[in-house]
Amino acid sequence: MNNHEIMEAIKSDDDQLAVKKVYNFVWSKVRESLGKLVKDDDLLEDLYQDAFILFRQKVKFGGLDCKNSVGYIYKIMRHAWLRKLKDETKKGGSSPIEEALLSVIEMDDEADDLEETEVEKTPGAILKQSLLDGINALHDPYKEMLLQLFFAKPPVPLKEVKILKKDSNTEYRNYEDLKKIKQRAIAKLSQLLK
Amino acid sequence: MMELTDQDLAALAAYWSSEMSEKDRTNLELRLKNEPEFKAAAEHYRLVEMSLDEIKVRQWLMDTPLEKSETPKVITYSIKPLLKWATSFAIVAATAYYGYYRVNTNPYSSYYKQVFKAPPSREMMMQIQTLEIQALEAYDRGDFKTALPLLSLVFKNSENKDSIKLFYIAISHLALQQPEQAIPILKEMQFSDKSKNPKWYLALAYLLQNNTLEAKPLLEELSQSDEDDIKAKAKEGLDLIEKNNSK
Repeated sequence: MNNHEIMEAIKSDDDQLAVKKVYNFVWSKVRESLGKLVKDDDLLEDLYQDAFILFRQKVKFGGLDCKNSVGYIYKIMRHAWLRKLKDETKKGGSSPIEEALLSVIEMDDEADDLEETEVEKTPGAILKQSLLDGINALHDPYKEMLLQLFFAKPPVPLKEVKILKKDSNTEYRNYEDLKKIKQRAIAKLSQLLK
Repeated sequence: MMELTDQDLAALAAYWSSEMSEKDRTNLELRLKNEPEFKAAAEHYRLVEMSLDEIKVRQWLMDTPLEKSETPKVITYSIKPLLKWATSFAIVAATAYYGYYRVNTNPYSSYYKQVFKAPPSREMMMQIQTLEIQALEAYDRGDFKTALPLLSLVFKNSENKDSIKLFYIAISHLALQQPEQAIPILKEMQFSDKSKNPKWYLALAYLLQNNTLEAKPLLEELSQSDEDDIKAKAKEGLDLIEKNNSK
């Protein structure tokens, strides 16, 4: 899988399979290198999932054009881990060995070309429960659209969303119509949450 | 907050996905610059969209166990590749059997098994070297709290487990008033590296434990030393023991 294929899958809106494929592929590349430093497998997986999602948001919503996605995700993970380690060191919760590693890795980071701000989590993300409360306060078809798209298990791709037209009791079939309803639904939710 | 119209939403979607003509883009950017309410509404819309997307992707990934390998290889069944595979297998099996036979009849095979050890990777070596420099710098500036874990890590991961590293570990323990950790190391070293005076530090470690029984003979030996500094300090220590014993 090359960088172009990774970027295309990351940008996709509904292609769940492509995203999962990339998710596993990048994992196989980063787990070995970062696994040398992070010995806790659960922590490593959490770091990876957060880094992957942040990377996807930067590409999809921030227009990031990355030439080395694997390296970028690795750097996000490393920064996140360092931040966690620093926090634990401040609280006195880390072991002397972890503190030792922290000082060495910080030295490496001086040569890092990635700015700290570039890999920080997008600030101000809205909590899941607030979103759900907002959606429940909407009327159909907006409520149904957002529930199917984002809260169904598994989430339904836009082209497969099934919602009824108010007047004729038939389903929306046209993809462009569904896209418009989705945009309107998010705009209405945004209004409610402001 | 201002409500975005269908037209606004379509324009913003095109703008964000870079599917807008240069002219429309300039117009929209001007609007975003000149209409703070429109800008705020657009930004909040984007934030809601991103937050929803995050929930969706987390759901996608929730049932995606992380695998070790990339993607499973597709196996196709036909005679030709199977024949090829069988031939390769036969060659590999024959080579392995020959290799096994050779190793097991070779008189040096048990020696090889005993002494063979893969050297650490270059990356690990470099990391250890960096760590060692930091450790010694901390040691020299008297920051033993930092030096000790670094030295321990270096010693644990070094291929070359030289006694000097061990000595610095013992001294760091002693500097941190941890005689119980320093004593076993210094005891091991007391006859090996005289230039560093391990006996002197061992005597001090015992004194820190108030163990004059072990400290005294060492100090007596050191009071006969050729080094004036050590000789004087050892005599001072012995005098102190005498003084305390007579109390």
